[in-house]
Amino acid sequence: MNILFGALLIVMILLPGVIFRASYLHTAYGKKTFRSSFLDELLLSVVPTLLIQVLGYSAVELILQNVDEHLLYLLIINNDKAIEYGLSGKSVFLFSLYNLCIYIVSWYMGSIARKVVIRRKLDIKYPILRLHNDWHYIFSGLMLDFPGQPGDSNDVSTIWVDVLVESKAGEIIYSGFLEQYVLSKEDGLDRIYLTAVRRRRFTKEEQGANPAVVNDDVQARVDSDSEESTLATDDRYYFMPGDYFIIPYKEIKNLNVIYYREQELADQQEA
Amino acid sequence: MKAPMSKNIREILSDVKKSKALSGQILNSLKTGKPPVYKIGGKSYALVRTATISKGK
Repeated sequence: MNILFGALLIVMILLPGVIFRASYLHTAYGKKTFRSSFLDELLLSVVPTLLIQVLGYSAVELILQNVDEHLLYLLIINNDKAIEYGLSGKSVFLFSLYNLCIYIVSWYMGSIARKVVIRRKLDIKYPILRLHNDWHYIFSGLMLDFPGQPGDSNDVSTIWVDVLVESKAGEIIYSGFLEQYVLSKEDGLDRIYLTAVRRRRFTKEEQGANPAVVNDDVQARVDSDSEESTLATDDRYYFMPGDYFIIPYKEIKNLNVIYYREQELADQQEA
Repeated sequence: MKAPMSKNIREILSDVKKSKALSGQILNSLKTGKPPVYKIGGKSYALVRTATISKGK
């Protein structure tokens, strides 16, 4: 008998765990965004494999009641005695059908597990269940649900980001509302999309200094009922027109992320 | 992936003037401590800072 046949059977038996893991990590962007060792992946695949195969075997045993484990064992260890058993076409068909069903069930179980983990925020409690890298937890606001962090991710109304970028003209700070972010497996983050961006140079004279607010008294309200919606702010800032401002991660030196929650004001507070 | 953003903030950011004003208010609020305030649909809202995280490479 061919030794590859035994290896193929082992792969077929272990495959449900791999499918489960692939389905679990199959998020909107469809790819893994963090690095993990082969050992981690093997462990995270073997455990689901054991569970799924035990359930599948129990179900088949209950229905057919004549599963020949000894023949499967002989085939896996590549023993010639397996030939004496006379492997029938029906057995091959049933084994293939079993595997097909198990693979489909594994995919659905992975998908359901992901939904349960996200809904119950189990990935925050248990690092082994993490679906994305650290950047996702920071930019989605889920960071606030980590133990010891202030606030709640459900209260996040918007995220303001100050980005320090190195350029030929020197260091520049871009500040704006975080609109989108794209994760990557290599660096963790590929790029970020900001909107309503203001830009200013980060010069040595300003480092450590705390320049006063320019014209705080004329701070205007963003009022949908009023035409008055321009603001006199720090002159060093230049408002960047455009819907999105994209910053590649490789150009970012440092990031300051601020989470804001929206609070409705009572009438007496409005003035 | 989309970052969290409330319907009201999204509405403000769809208007260049209002988004410019709100971003200015946020920059000033970081120094003055006064929260940015805006009005949508007859109701007034303030943006309250809940947490700040700095991360370098």
